Amino acid sequence: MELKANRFVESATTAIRDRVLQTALDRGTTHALNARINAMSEVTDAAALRQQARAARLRALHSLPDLLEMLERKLTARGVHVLWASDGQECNRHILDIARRHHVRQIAKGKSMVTEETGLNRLLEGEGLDVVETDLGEFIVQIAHETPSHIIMPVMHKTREQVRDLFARELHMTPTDDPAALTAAARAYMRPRFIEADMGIQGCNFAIAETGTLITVTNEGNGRMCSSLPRVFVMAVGIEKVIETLDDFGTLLQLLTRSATGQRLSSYVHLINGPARPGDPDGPEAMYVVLVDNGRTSIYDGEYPEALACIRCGACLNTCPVYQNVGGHAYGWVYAGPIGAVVTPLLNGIHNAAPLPHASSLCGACKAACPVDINIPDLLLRLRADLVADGDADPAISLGVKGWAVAMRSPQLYEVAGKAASAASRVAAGYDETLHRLPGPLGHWTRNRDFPPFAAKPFRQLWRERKRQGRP
Amino acid sequence: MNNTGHSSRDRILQRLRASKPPFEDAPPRPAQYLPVTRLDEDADLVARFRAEVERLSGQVHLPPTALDAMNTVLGIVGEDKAVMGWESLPLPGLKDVLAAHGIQIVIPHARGDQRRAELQKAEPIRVGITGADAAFATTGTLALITNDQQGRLPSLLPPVHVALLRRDRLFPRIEDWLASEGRAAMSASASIALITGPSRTGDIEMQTILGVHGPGVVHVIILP
Amino acid sequence: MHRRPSVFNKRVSLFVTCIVDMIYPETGMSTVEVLERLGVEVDFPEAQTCCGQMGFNAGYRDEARAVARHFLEAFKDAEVIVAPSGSCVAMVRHYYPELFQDDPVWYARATWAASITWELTEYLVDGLGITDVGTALKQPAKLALHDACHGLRGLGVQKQPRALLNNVRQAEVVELPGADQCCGFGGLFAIKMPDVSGAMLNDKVKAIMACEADTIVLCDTSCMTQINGGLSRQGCPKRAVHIADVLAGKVGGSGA
Repeated sequence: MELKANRFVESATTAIRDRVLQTALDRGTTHALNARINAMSEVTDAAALRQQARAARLRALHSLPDLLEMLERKLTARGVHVLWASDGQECNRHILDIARRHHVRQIAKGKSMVTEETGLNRLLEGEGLDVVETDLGEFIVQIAHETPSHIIMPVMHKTREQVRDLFARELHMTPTDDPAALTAAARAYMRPRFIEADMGIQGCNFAIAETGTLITVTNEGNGRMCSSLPRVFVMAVGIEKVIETLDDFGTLLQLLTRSATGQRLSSYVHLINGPARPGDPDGPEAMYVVLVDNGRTSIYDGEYPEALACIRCGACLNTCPVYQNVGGHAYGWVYAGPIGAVVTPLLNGIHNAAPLPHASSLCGACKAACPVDINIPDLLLRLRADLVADGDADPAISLGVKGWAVAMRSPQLYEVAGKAASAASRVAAGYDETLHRLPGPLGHWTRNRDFPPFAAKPFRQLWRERKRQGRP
Repeated sequence: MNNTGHSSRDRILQRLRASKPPFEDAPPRPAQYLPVTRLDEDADLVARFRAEVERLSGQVHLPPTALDAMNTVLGIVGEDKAVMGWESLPLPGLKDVLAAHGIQIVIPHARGDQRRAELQKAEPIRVGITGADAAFATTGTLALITNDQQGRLPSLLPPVHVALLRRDRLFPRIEDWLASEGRAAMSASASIALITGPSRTGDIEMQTILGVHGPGVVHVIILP
Repeated sequence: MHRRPSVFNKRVSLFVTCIVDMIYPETGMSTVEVLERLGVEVDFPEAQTCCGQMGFNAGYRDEARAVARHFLEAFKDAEVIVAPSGSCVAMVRHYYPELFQDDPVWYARATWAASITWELTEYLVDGLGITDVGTALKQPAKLALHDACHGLRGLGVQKQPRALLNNVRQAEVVELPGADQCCGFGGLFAIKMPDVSGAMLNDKVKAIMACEADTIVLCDTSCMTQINGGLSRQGCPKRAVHIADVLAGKVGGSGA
């Protein structure tokens, strides 16, 4: 996917002014947020479970290379072809090769964020292959020629009226905004495509090393269609998806579904161990797994390996007041919200996504919501320090901060600066006793807020006077 | 496998092994995993399972006898002349009863050259009948294992799914099944579906719609 | 609870914080008055300036470290440090040790300071075990709390202000919907991303306008500045006040 993260500030402003988007975001995030809170309130011990889940992810990351080899061994033993891709281009090439080798023309695709990273659909379509996104939200995104705006709910940014108009235009459907009718139209559209597809492609939620099992978590049934009907099946798996054991899976799976959609379990959890066995009446003849790096190894051996612990539940998006107000597209890439603000710079180079670590008030709601307790605010703070250390900072702010640091180390200078600010601000505030305009970059504050004038006497002066008076 | 794939493998593994692995002090595997769902010790598993399935708009039947169970199936099949099914079903006699009613049990063999033709033939069938290799009470989940007697399609393609569940296959929680039978199941089957209620989506304005691509109607018949 | 050294019979060094010092000195006074009313000895190390979080949060760790060193010097004789600000206390407690993790001498000083620094309401309730400071409002008033993020999630400050307010006579404490939702301040975030900060502020102002209470109480003057800035710009008569001023009896009927 094209990276537009450096345009975050303008994109965010556009998003904030978009009334329709704001309505959709309000509805979507509130619903998802409440669903997660309800679902997590009924478990045995939410705090302990999150630590259990976190430990499972960290153990897996600690042993990642060994687990990847174990996974590969077990899959290969069952006839799965395991391929490795260093970057997005290689991932796409592998999948194209597979398609060519098997004379594939039509592809049914389930959800895969990794292939959004790599731009797979564009490449395949450019090579004359027909690719249909079968997840309803991704299908809507596809026919609208857009990109998904949320990890779990790809069209959270759309209203039913927008979907109505889209289906009317692209599917020549009699306009209706009844979600049941729209869904039925998508079902009818998709069924023949599942049957005609030569190849199914899907992403992966977890890859269990212990048993060599690949997991997909879905609700619609399109995932199982993609992995059962076509003769060739391909899974694109980010290398960080590996977990150690079935027991770990039991915890992580349920925290994923509860955190993502508030469900105890999704309608379908598919445990895939290989292609169809000789006696199976159905299933794919050939199965391929593409293990994708695409920047994950550099996160792994860098300063932020914790970012790889993410299980892609979307809880942090739903709970983030920044995401709630700007939606996913403003983040300019595949992953939005708090985790997006971390992984987008890490996977693409911090200077290519410089605003994102700053797109946060550090309120900490994301960390509190994360089922594996990733310390996102801490990661954002360190990314900000990296940007500054690398010279990627607004010069006006850098100058201001340097001046601030000098003043703050000298009580005398601090007091003098304070007196000056006090005098100037009280004059500017006038009778109103409030400032409607601040100078320079501080003017960004007063664009939409007032500011109080500095007091006539700072606290330290009142303290001194009180002392002189012998404390009333 | 081409060269590029092979060297990428080496490159990736080498890079992952280049520095000290992170999270050295990650807590070790617990002796006992804390289960996610709450369950009273003396809980009635069938009642809990039923409540969970019904909460998700699935239907649960508790026929008192095998004959009642077969009549329940017939009731669901109604006027249809064909159903999709597993080769092996846990209700002995059901196949004969269906045949006696002129209902053909279609077992699509969607493999090899016949794949598409079999799929197209199977597509219009309304009801799919399967067993269930396990079920989990606290989530209302069915586990369906694929093998030569048990295909993927009957629980996926038709809009109505009927699952015949033996009581002794009902586990309290998913964790219990994973711990006791998980490994064996993974070795024994290429594809296991954990099914919790009908197919659904909330993609359009967060409104839940049932029956998107998978079955919109799920009947669980708990065998006597 | 806190595995920090006991505060009983110890002198409190007030860390007034730069915002309170310069813009809301009366809140600083209220803090002193409340503490002294409870028999606590309070001093004010005059070399103090700022905790450094503004620079730290924006990624300027060298500058923040320099300011932090000055803080540690200024408070080197303190027994207990109390500040009327959750975010400043969170900075000292959580980030001072991180800032000095490569310097054993300053790291020791940082962890020492972290162990003795308290936000005002947690000092009163968790430290001294006091939830009733004997305050009575002049007239009955409906108050609602806004939970400042750093205090809430960084320090666990949530029950303490509520416990204190519930014992203020003539005060009826009601809930502010979305009390734990960020007001959008975030330090330099407010001017780096003013539209996003403003949108978050809008949500907070809407919630306040719809709330039963006329006065919003909080434990952090940075939030207070953001929130009052929005209320004032949008012509809403309600205001936010610091809990120290409420406890010092300076908040009357409706409004501050």
